[in-house]
Order: sequence, then C-alpha cells, then structure tokens
Amino acid sequence: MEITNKTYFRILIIAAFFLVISVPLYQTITDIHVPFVKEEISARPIAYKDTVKIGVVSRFTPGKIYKGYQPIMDYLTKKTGYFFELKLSSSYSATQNGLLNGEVTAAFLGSYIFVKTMDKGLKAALKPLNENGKPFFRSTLITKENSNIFRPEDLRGKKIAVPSSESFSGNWLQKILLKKFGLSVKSLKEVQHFAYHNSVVRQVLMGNFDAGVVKDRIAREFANEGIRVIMYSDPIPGSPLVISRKSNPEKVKLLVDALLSIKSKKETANWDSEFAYGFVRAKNSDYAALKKIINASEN
Amino acid sequence: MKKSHFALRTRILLFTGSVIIFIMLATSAAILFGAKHLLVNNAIENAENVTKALEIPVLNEFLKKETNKFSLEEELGALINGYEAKVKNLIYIKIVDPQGKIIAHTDWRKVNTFENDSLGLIHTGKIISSIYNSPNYGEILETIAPVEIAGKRWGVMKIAFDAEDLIARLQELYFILIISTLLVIVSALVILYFISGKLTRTLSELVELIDTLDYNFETTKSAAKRTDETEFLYSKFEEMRQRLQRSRNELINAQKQIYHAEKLASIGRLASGVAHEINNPLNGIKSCLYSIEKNPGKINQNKEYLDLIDEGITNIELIVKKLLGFARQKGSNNELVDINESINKVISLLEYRLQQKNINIIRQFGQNAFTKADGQLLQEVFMNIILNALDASPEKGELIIITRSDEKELEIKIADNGEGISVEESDKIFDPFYTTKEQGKGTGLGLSVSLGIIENLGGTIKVESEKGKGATFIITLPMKN
Repeated sequence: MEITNKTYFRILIIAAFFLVISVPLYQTITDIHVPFVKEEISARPIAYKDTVKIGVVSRFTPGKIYKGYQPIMDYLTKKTGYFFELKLSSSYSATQNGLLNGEVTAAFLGSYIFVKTMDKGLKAALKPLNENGKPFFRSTLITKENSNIFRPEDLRGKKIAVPSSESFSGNWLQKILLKKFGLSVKSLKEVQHFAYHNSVVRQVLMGNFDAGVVKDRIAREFANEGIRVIMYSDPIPGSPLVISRKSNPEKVKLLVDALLSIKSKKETANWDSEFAYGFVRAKNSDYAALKKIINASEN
Repeated sequence: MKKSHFALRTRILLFTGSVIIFIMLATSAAILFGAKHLLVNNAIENAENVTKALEIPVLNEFLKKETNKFSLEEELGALINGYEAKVKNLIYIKIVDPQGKIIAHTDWRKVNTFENDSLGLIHTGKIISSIYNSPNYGEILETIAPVEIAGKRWGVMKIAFDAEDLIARLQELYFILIISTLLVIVSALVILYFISGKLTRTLSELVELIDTLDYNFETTKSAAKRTDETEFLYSKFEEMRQRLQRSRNELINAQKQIYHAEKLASIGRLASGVAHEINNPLNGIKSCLYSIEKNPGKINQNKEYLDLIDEGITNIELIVKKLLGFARQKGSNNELVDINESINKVISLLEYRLQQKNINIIRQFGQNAFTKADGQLLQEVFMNIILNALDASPEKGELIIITRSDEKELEIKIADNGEGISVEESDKIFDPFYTTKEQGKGTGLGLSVSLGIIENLGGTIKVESEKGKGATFIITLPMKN
C-alpha cells in the first residue's frame, strides 16, 4: 500500500488525538482525591464565660442519660452563654455528694434521695411537669403482657426487680405497696435492685423477674414492647433540680430562668421525656408530705 | 488511477480507525469513570462501615469513664490495637479530643501529642471521609467520626486506610482498557485491511480491464463472475463499453462521410484546374482531328496527328487517373506511405492552379519519410493545407514543403508567404465549420478533418503564423516503418 505524506500526517493526527485523550484520562482516573466536606466542619468553639456542671443521678445508663440530658445542656448553653456540662456519677448518693461539695452547681436528683438528704442544706429549685401539666410522677408495678399477675396479691412467691435503692421506685413496692395489701418482702421470692429503670424493664421482659417497678414515664416508653402496668403509686412530687448552698446564685438564676422560659415543645423535642413538659419552681416543702410517707414506711 | 484506489483504501482504514479509536476511548472512559466511582465509593463505604463499627465501643469507653475510674487512654489504646489487627489496609486509628490532643493512637508514641487541624470539630454527627496525599503516609483514605451522644462531644476518631492499592487497581484497569483499545483497533484495522483489499481488488480489476481497452473499446480481458454488487458494476461497465463502441463506430462512419464530403469539396476546388488540364489536350485532339478530316490523304502528317491525339488522350487519362486516385474513398490504414510521393501527387493535381498563380514550389524532402497510414487520408490532409496555402498566396508566391524524419517521428512543414493568420484566428482554424473564405468557397471542415486524421494516426498538427508574414503548418507523425 502506497503511504503518502498526507496519510502519515493523518496517522499522526489520529495518534496525537489518542494521546491527547488518553493522557488526561489517565490523570483524571488515577486522581482519586476527595476533599472533606467543608460544611461538615465547624469553626473552633466560641469561648464561654464559664463551665457550669450539672449532676444527674444514675437512674439510666450513661448513654441514655446523655441522649436525654445533653440536649438540656445544649439548650442552657445557648440560652445563658455559660457552657453547661453534665456530670455523671456511679450512684445517686455520689451525685448528691457532688452537689454538697460544690462540684456541681445543680443536680437532677431523685425525689427519694432528695427527701432523704434535703436537711443537709439542699434546696429544690425546680420540679418537672408531667404530660398533664402537673409536677408529679408515679411509680408503676409492671409485668410481662402475658403474665398471670394481675393484682399485688399475685406477687406472692414471685421475683421482683426494682431500681436503685436510693430511688422512690426502688422502695415503693417494699415499703408502701406490699404493706397496703397485707404482704411483706418475705412473702416474695426475691427482690433485686438494678442500677437503671431500663434494666428493670428488660429483666421483666426477659422473664428473669416476674414483675418490676419503674417510673410511669418508663412504663409508657415500653408500653408497646410487651409490658403491662398492674398498679400505680399515688402521685409523687417530680424529681427536682436541686441546688446547694455552694451553688453560684447568678448561675442558678440563669439556669432556673432558662428552664422556666421554655416556650414550645419544639425546644424540648429531644429532651428526656421526664422534662419534656417543662418545669415549675419548687420548694422543699413540696416534698414534706413525701418525706412523711417515707419516714412512716421505714419505721 | 492506482494511487487513488490506494487512497480510497487508506481513507477507509484511517476513517474507520478514527471512529474505532473514538468509540473505544469513549467506552473506556465511561467504564473507567464508572469503575472509579464504584471503587472509590466502595472504599469510602467500607471505611465508613469499619469506622461505624468501632464508633460504638469507643463511645462506650468514654461513657464508662463518666462513671468509673480507669485509664481511658489505655483502654482506648487496647481497643484500637485489637481492631487494627483485624482490619486490612489500615494505617492508623487515632482519637483526638476537641482541643486537638491525641488521646489514643495505634502508634502509642503519638498519644498526648497535639495535631493542628480543624477537622477535630466536624459539625454534624456524620462520618466524613477524604482521600488525600498525606506527607507521612502517602495516599490515604481517612474517615473522621465524632465521638458523641446528642451533642456531647468527647472528640473525634480518625481512621486512615491505605489508598495506594485503590490507585494501583485503577491504573491496572486503565492499562487493561487502553491495551484492549489498541488491540481492538489493530485487529479491526487488520480485518479492514483485508476486507478493503478485497473490495478495492474488484476495483483494481475493473481498472485493469479499462486499461486494456483499445481505441475501438475492445478488450482482451474478461471480468470474473461475481455474486456481489461489483457484478452490477461490471455489467454496467460492459453496457457502457458496448455503447461507446457503437458510438465510436457511428462516429467513424460520420467522420468518413465528412472526409468524403470534404474530399468532394476539394475535388470541386480542383475542378477548374482539372478542366483546364483536360481541355488543353482535348483542344489539341480536336485540331488534330480537324486537320486529319481536312487532309485525309496526308498519311505521314496524319500519323503525326494521331500520335499527338494519343499523347493528348494519355494526358487526359493520367489526369483522370490522378483525380480518381484522390477521390477513392477507402484506403488501408496500414499501408506504408511515402510522404514525399504523397505530397508530389497532390502537387501534380494542383499543378495547373499553381502555374496559374506562378507559385514557386520549393521541395526540401528528407530521406526515409515513411509511415504506416491510410495514404488517401494523408493526401487529403496535404491537399487541404496546400489548397489553403494556394488560396492565401499572392501571385508569384512561394510554397516551401519540407519533410524530415528521425528515429521517432516524421515532420512535414508546409509554409507559404501569404497573408498569414492572426493569433485569434489561429485558435479557431481547427474548429469545425470555421472559415475565413467567402460563402460557398469553403466548407470550414478542411482543417478540422485534417486534425482528426492526424490525431487518429497519433500525430499532431499545429500552425505558426503572424498576420502578413505567411503561415507554416507543421505536421508530426510517429515513425512506423
């Protein structure tokens, strides 16, 4: 085949085209760099006036506490300009001690532990409202949905799971309910305390225990997961946000004002459901009746 | 012709090659981009899944630390070291607190050091990923996951995976596809080379067939029978060849008729001269017969008269013979013609007219002036040119006729010193029906016919002239001894 200069030129053009395409193609294909998405990266945190530590009794696992209480901290941080930080502890009394020694400015205590230690210089600042707008909660006696326990009397010889011995729910059954129905702890096979309310529900659901006691809001949370409520306690004043003599009044005021100024449910959407309906101011005297009941039950 | 048929083949190969290159490159690019997208996304997804799987135990360590006393650094270090052993291509895992302090690292020496970037503060709870070139580790895929619950941020976990392998896989894929592309192009061009060769071979054969056609559109070759479209081409070619053959025959016949007509016209132009040439001996014969009739007894004198009559009749016979010789329609195309003799014959036919005008003829005839042709047709050419020269020449003019030959060709020059031909006229004199003569004195076909005759013999005819300086007709013919 006769190849002219024009043909060579055309072959060169085609080869050049091949190269012109294939070289950048190689570079594009082998360049796999992917930058971090800029909008996902925020600036360094702004400098806050100070850090305010808030204690929480260990009524739930740390994870659950952070899920429910951290949004409250974020809300307070946003509202006050102070950086609010949770301080978890291993027991109810450790939280109370943190409050007493000034390690935390305020603490979400249980009603029971507050009643027990309120005379040491602790002061109820706020108490949460329930879904009916009342500052009370109830303890509930629960069993599995298909359990043959329908009345407190059916608890005879049964294994019962209860929360911390430093909580009201951890004491209501043994000290109030059983007495009311002419029973005693001895008439039960076993009563075991668990650190967290959720642990009680899970033990009942797993069948390790025949019945259990938890706060009403926990019973509602698990209502569709196979538990049945047998009995409610009388209304108990809600778990208070407590301050001590060592608490900084300015920070306390900002904290209390911020929590009393919740305007919509939107603001509390991610909060622990115990606090989702807001707060009212509390006085130690609000817990006097409960103190009387507890003292009476323990004598 | 051969060049263009190769050009066609080259063009087919170049065009198809270009199209294949374009299609293959486009396809390869699409495959490569798809593969890159898939590989990179898969790598990121895998990295993020690994990160997610580690996120929970790391978070649990932080949560445990909230309510228990233990060395978080040691616990996290042990956890990520255990994880490192199980994950392929892992370069490092590190956990950085919001202040940029490394609180756990698969390389324990880096714990408690600080790193200075803003990536510790990712805004959302999402895992984010990047592939970049790290000065220490080369190409890495790094994921960053916040260690947090509901806005409580303990820090971020960063896991880096080796991305060199990913690039190597893409490079491998690239080269496979480029080599495949080249192989496909080469294979396609080789196949095309043979297919186009087959196609152009058909055309080549047709070209060769056309090359073998002679002046009569006859061919010695025959086309091979085919079953494809080229058979149609061949049949059309054959039809065309036959049509051309018919047309040529018709043209030859028409040409012959024109030649004959022109010859008759030439005879017409000769007629007065011939009549005079016949008339002179006839007058002699007549006066001889008159004398014999008057004195029938003068035997000796009458014998002289009879001799004169015989001479006159012989002259007439010669003149008629020459005229008949010129008027004869058909000669042989392959007879060996003595050009000098042909010119002499024509001059002898024109002798009377030449004498009438006192034209001086100078013959400078060369040796070996022979060619193979139809002598009658050549005489017609000379007749046409000499008659024109005669018409153009003045009284006592001069006509120079030169013949010359070498190994290749024979040249005949016929020059007059007549009025000449202008440049404009010289472009037209060979056109049919072009004449400068008065109406009825010329057909305008003489030189056109002469040109046709000479060109049919493979020769040329041209004129050199200037107005007022005479004209020279130069005829060249190939030597055919």
